[in-house]
Amino acid sequence: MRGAPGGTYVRIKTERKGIGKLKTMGILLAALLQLGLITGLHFITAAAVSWYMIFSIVLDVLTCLYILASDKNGRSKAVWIMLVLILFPVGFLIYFLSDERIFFRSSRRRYQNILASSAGMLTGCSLHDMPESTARACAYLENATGYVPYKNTRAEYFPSGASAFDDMLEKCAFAKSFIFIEYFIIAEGALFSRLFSVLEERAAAGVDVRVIYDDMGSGGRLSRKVIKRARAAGIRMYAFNRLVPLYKIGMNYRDHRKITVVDGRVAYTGGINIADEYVNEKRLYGYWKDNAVRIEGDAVQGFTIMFLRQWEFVTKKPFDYSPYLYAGGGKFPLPSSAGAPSLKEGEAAPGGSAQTGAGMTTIVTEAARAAEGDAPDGAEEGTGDVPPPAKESCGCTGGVFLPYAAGLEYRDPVVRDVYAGVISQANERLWIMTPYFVPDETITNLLAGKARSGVDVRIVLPGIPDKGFVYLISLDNADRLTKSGVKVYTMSDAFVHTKSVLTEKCAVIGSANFDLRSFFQQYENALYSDDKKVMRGLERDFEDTFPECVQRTYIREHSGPIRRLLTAILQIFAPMM
Amino acid sequence: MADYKFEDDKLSVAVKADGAQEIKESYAAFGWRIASERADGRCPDIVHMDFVREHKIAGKDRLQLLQVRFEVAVNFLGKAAHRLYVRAAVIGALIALIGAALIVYGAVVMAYSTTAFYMASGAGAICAGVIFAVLAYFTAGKVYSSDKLKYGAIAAVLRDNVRDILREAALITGAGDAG
Repeated sequence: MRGAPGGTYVRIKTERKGIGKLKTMGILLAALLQLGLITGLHFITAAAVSWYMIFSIVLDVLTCLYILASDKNGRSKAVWIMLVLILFPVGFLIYFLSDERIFFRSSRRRYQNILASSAGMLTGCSLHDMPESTARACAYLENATGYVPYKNTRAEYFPSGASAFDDMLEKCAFAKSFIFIEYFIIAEGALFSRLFSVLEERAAAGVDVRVIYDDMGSGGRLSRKVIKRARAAGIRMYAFNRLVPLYKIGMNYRDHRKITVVDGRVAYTGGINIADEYVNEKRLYGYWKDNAVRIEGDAVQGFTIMFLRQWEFVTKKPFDYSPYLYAGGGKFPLPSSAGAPSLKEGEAAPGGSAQTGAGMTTIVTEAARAAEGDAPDGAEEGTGDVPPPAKESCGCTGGVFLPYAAGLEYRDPVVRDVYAGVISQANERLWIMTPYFVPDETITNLLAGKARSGVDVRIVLPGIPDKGFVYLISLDNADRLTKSGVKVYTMSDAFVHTKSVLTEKCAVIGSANFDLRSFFQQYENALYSDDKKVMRGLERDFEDTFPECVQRTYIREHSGPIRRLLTAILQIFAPMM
Repeated sequence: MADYKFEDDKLSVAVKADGAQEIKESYAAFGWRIASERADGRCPDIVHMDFVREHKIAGKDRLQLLQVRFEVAVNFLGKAAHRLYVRAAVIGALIALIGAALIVYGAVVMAYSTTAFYMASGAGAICAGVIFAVLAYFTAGKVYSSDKLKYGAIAAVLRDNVRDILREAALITGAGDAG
């Protein structure tokens, strides 16, 4: 018998050999598969990367072309193109998510409908009986924004927030029909308590009190509890462009306007907001320098419409504006300032039809002026470049007033264009007060050109900054202009928040800074006027401010390398600040 | 139209007890009247003072600017006295620290040295440390005296400014010459 073990051994050996081969083959197969997978993945990834690169480059090129074709200013375009090229599709995403042409389209359309439906309600004065420079500015504003110029208006200039708010409170306390308030910042504090106790009392008395505040400007400074209390008291409060925890399209577009309208008879605007620092009852950055102007008369209707349009936008409910306007745009019966009672307290504000005021020529008495608290006339008022105003019995000085709004609802960068127009028409002097000085090339070149041609160009900036980085850029921009002959001042121990321009021909007072945000992104408002009283008030404010300032000399060469490097980097992103 | 009635403005100030009277008199120049005064619960040398002032007063804008300048100057003077020692002390301490480190290093090297070379190195390090300590003393003194000169000049100007500010404020409010 053949030995079974041998056969078994051979068989067993054979089996083992077979399994070993199988394992080896398996391993080889696995190795080959892995190699194939890696090779495949490599080729797929390489192809994907290539396609990704091709896709990114095409996307970038298209985005850059889109940016170049946009209405943005040159600096903004350059920065956006740089970002898109560095960040590839992420840059594309960031750009398109913040492009108002796409994601702000419905809001813009809604705004345009609001503007169109209320366009006919503004009827101002003729452009023919006013100086050529004023007529040109008014024509531009009328064409670009639809706002119209008015006469039959008297004004009072306030060189500080404290004096403006005291006056405003007194006017609000005796409101009979409505109080409209629209501010970038409404913050709880002493001023807020004073104002809102008046508003609550007026709302209880049946006055229509409406408040719009910007959700970012007032964020963290106005509690829900207070808003609830105000609403419970009958004050209608709405936030503009509410902030949400997630990124929101259009979050960048803020309502920076500062408007108060009382009964359609009195309006205020300027740099002020409703917060304690604006009346120097709280210290943030030293003394808070601000200003405001009060107008009474026909021009108030411009501010009334401005507010009502914004109200319709935030509430999304169309309504009839005419009950809030004086006779649908007719002449406002301005009372005599010669000690006459301003307006009868029981008199209904809107809806009248008198046609007085514009033609009044009676000269107001000195006693009446003194009683009103005005500055003395004659020698003192005539000391400046602006001649003393010739007054009529209504207190008007015959000037033109044009309240205007700027924002995304308009095709033009209205703020920039108005400033550019004002600058280009200045032949003798051009005084600017602004907290931030980050203009575009148009404004910079105009200012440099004016200074070189002998115009007295002066810029007043804060001595204490509120935003360090923006201040560095502001000083850098202003210092560069000193080479052209522009005089740059910084107010010592103070934060200058006034946003005003004065030339020998006109004054612009409002909410718009000399920066790219105000020029191109924010909702702003201002008052353009060639009224002698407004100009004289602003001129006096400048003259009182200059001695409190330090005049800067060109120090760029003396600044350290770190500061110069930091400024250079910040200048790249200046259009976004 | 009747006048709207404003409540008085309020101001709270916390100062060191020894300077309380001076501050009280200074704020009087700006038209502030003391309403209440109390010692701090935790720091006995701190006094809290509450002032009141009529809301509508003549020249309020100017008074507010002057008051800011007064507060900036007074705060600077207070900080300057403190800074005078701090800068000299910090610079002196840094140099002294290097000296101390060298002395300790030298002592350790000497303690564990087996050769004359290491012994000499340790002694050298100790000597260098002592030199650094002496240097620290003189540098701190130099910094102190130069700062004293600088801050002294600034402080003198600021004190003059404070006097002028108080004089101008008193003229506006009619509080008499507070300077």
